[in-house]
Amino acid sequence: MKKKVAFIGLLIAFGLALSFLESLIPQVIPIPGVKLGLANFAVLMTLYLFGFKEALIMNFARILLASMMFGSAFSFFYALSGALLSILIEVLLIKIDKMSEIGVSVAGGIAHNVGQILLAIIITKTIGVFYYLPFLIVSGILAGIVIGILVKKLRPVLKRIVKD
Amino acid sequence: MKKADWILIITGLLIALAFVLFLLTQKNSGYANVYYDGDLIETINLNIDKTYTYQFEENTNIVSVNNGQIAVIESNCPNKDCINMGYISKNKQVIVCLPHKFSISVVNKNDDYDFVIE
Repeated sequence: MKKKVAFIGLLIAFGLALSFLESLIPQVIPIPGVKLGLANFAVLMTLYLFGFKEALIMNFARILLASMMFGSAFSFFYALSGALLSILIEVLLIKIDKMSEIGVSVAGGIAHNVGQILLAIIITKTIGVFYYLPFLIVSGILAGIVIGILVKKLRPVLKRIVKD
Repeated sequence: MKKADWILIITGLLIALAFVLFLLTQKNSGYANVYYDGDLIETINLNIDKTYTYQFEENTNIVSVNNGQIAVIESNCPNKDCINMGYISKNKQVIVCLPHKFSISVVNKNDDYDFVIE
């Protein structure tokens, strides 16, 4: 139990570091919250190692801390919407078990960006924001593939450490 | 990689490609609608170079029309995404300033529908 708490703490810290790294990368698509989603690595790893509840707590803590450190109240609620949609899709796909880590990660990446776009449409009441979708899908796929490969390679190693 | 992974990736890329092709075929249309909180504020003629200032409560966006293109050149929003979106001129292109609920859509004046959800 203690070990699990410590491990989730590590994953939060790691996710936070990834969020920070990403905040340094200039945005290609200037829509708030639409990004590569590097922190999805930490989320996906938590999902595979522990489960839905743990991943939800881990991601919530990460977004809260990231908003406090290099964001705003606006970015907190905004980030939460995409994160929630992405985590729900990922947990569903893991349950169905038809996809490898790569597919799950790609779907999560796309879902994150689609979630942000939907919220942007609701906030501005401008459906035209929809036309940014192709860029969001492609960036979600590219980042998703990289993250998926990393999760696939590192998962057995981390699993051994957690089980010990 | 499993079969379902490939299906997802390829479907995603095809959808993106279709969207890109659709956007590339749009023409310069010469008019832009300015919205605040979903309400149409005014329609701007992009053939007249001019600077417009929009102030709603504490939110200020300064919009510039130059050479048939339109951009937000100044904003007091936190992330400046609206400025980073740069100049747009093609039909259906959009600039949004999310924290200000402010948006600009390039429109074809002959279109009898608009892009606002009521």
